[in-house]
Parts: sequence; C-alpha cells; structure tokens
Amino acid sequence: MNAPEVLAARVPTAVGPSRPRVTQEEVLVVVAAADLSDARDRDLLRRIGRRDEDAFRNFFGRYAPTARALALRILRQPFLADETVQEAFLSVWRDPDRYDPRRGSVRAWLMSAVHHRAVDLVRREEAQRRRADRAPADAPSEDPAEQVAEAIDIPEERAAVRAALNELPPEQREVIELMYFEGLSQSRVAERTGIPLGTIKSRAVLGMRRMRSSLGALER
Amino acid sequence: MTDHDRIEELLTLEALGALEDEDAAALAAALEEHGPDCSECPRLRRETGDVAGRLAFALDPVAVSVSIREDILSAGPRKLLRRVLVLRRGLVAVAAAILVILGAVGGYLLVPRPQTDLAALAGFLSRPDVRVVQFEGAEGNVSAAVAPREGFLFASNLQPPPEGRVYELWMIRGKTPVRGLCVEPRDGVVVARFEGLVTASDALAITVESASCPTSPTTEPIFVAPLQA
Repeated sequence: MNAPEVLAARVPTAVGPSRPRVTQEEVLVVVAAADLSDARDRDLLRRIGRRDEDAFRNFFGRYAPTARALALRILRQPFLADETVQEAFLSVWRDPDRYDPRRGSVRAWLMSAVHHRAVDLVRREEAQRRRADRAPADAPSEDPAEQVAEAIDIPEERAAVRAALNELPPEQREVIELMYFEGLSQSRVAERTGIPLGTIKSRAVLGMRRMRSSLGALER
Repeated sequence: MTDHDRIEELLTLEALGALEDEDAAALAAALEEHGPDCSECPRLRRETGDVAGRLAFALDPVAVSVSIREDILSAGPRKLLRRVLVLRRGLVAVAAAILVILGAVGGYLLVPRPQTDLAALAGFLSRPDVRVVQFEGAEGNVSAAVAPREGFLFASNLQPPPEGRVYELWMIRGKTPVRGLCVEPRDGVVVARFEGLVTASDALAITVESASCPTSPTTEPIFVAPLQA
C-alpha cells in the first residue's frame, strides 16, 4: 500500500470520495453554525475565567473526544494522548485569557494547543514512536460517552472539514495530512515522499488556501 | 514570490506544525519587518491558524479514558491541577535521582556521611505517603521528597558553597530549626537522605554554614520550601 492509499484508509468512513462538492448554501450554513458555536465557546471561556467548574466540564465534554482523537492520531499511544489532552485542558483552566479572538475560533485555538503539544512530544519520542508504529493503532472505544460527545458536538463542522479535505487534490491532501496528522516537519515530508521540499511547501500552501476557501474562512 | 506569499507559506507550515527552526526565525523576522501596522499578516495568521485547528474535526471523536474523565468531571480541575503539579515535581526528583544512579555526575559528599542507599531512594519515591516540595531561593533546582519521619534532598545546578563551607538543611517548626543534614554538592548535584519529624514541620530551609555543621543556623536561609499549605 503506498502513502496515499494509507492516508485514504485512515479517512473517516462518514465521507467517501464520491461525496458531491460543497455548495455555497452549505458553506453559509456551516459559517452560521460555526459562529453561533464559537459565541457559545467564548461564553464558556469567560465563565472558566471566573472559575466556573461547570463551564469547564461543559467545555471538556464538548471538545475532549476530538482533542483525544487528534492526540491519539499523532502519538499513537493512548496514555500519551490522555496526558496531552489533560495538559491542554488544564492549561485552559489555568489561563483562559490566553485565547486571542484575533487568532481564530476557540475550538481551533484549543485544537492547535493539543496539536502543538502532541507534535512536540512525538518529536521528542521519535524512537518510541517507531516502536508504536509497529503495533496496531488504538481501536475506537465503545464508551457510551463517545456517542454523547458526538451528539453535543458540531456535526456540520465535522462534515464540512471532512468534505473540504476530501475535495483537495490528493497530492495536496497527502502533504497536509502528513504534516498535521502525522506530525512530520516539512523536511521529513519531503524525505518520506521523495518530493522536493519546494514542491512540498507549495502543495501545503495551495491545499490550505483551498481549505480556507471551502470552510468560508475568507468570508469571516 | 511577494513578501506576503512568503509569509503565507511560513504561516501555513507553522499552523500545520511543520515549520523548522531556520524558517521559524525567518517568519519572526518577516513579521517584525512588516510591523504592527500590516493588516495582511494578522489576517493570514488568523485564517491559517483557524483552518489548521479545525482539521482536527476531520477525525472521528475518541472517548477520553474513564480515569481522566472522572478526574475532570468528578474531582474538578482544581483538584486535578494540584495532583498533576505534585506528580510533575515528583518526576523532576526522580529524574535527578536517575542521573545520579547512572553515574552521569560524580556523586556527592555528605558531611557527616550517611550511607545513602540508592535502591532505598527509588523505593522511597514510589511510596504513597511521599510528596515532593520545591525550594524557592538562590540559583539551582532544589527539591525534597518528604514523608512523616524522613526525606530526601535533591538538587541540581547548585552553586558550590564558599571554600570551607557547606549547605545545611533545617526542618523549621514554629520558630525552632531542627538540624537535618549537611551537604556539599559535587558537579552541582546533591541527593541525600535525612531523618526527623519532617512533614510535621512548617517548612524546610537551607543555610550556608561552616564545615563543622552547627546545631543552630548562623546565617539567613538561601532556600525555603513551605510544607504546610
């Protein structure tokens, strides 16, 4: 199985390659839902800033399963993923004012924090990771909390991001996935794919530009 | 390629976590050159950062482990934060011990010289009644693992005391200092066991004393670690 096939095999099954292109109406629905959702997240952050533990629990319930999915995808080791998620959420509790609305949505900020921690960890633990790569990835849990999390999550957002990713030309998508979900630096992606570094950078930029356009970031 | 094309490329790599050190420096320099009045740079950073953060939602959610969920949802973030901090400090102490065990440093000199049993030290750190406290004060990382009747002092990057002097540890209860032990770091490292009514004390303190190890402090503490919250 070559690299694109491996990546395709890891894409969530909810969205397949035959999905139609995202329409303008769909984009508007997603943008409106995302704005409402972000307003709610900002309110939660404000309450967390006032040391409201219920707000923190709400925030955790809303985003921890996605945060764990991201950390697990990068780290492959459940205990490291748990530690990363716990650290990221405790950091929100300690200092919610670190969120800067000028830098994007609350959920993007949170996931960037999880991503940053996971990538840092994986680069420190590369030898350990090579061993883990040979082991089967952690199977999705049957825990009922997962269904609860999915129900209160943002299904439109999830569908829109998957659709936007699936609409990318395979070579751009591959680069983005290797960087973001595998935690590889630009040079490592070039090594892994055998493609010149300049081409890797161009593909990343073009792919992210398309993602921004698809997700309506440019209109916001 | 325009300035902003280059900045967009670097911001994209940064948002995806793929930026390398050399390019991170180039990005910082480019952003600084554009200055706070550039409206395009913040827009690019916001948009690339936002889209990258949202990529996580392409994944199927995975339930958080039961233990963490219970910690967060039952104990609450305040209690969990305290536990994590204690654990982290413990790990710092364990790391210092391992350095010594591996012989990465030359060891330590104790005055007088109790026979420190490193196996006992490792066992001590794993005991459930042991907690780790950190000292504040002069230069160096100084911690103590404490139990009701004994403890271990750990330190790294500790400056050597003046010629003919040693560091002396005190257990302070009320206004009464009780002598713990005297130590002299070697290569900046100290690992030493001491005995006493440790956790019943209000604080631990370290002073610089003569090599004779006086029974009462003669100088002001240079490190202090409160023991009672």
